[in-house]
Amino acid sequence: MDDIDDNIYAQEKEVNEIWQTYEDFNEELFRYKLGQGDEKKGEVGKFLGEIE
Amino acid sequence: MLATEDMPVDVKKLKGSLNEQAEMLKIVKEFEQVYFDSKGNYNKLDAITMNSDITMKSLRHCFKLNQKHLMADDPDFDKPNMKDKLDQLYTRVQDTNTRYNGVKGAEMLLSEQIINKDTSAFKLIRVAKARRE
Repeated sequence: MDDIDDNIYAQEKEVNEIWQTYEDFNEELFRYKLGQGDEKKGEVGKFLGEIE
Repeated sequence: MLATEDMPVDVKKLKGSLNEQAEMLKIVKEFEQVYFDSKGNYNKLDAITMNSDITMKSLRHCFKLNQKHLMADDPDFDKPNMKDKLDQLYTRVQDTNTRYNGVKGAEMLLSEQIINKDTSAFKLIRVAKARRE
């Protein structure tokens, strides 16, 4: 059981780290799309409206 | 075998039996303490495994939405290979959680069986003692 315990705690740390990595990736993607002009801004707005 | 009204009470045996009962009670109490400590630890691990699972599911879902709506024109945007990283970690989390649930299930089942068995044994001893008095 001890090795599973260690895995669980190690993975909790990895999951928290990948969450942060994903947030950075997501922010970069939104900045990229918003920087592509009004048409793409509309796409982002529509997407955000859909997931609300 | 249970004592009945017809059976003569052997004081020496009864004393030995009471000492045995006291020893058993001590062992059962120690076992129960380990069981409850273990249960507390499992509750903590349950929360972590569940949280890791939900987080990974959520992130993979968010990535799919992004892929469908925002990355359709830019499929190469995923240069850091987020999709693969999320998939690989999710698979590992699932493997660990499955192993954890198997080990935890077997251990808790065995512990509960022992506790229930011992509780029944003590009930029988109490009934026998009450009949003698």
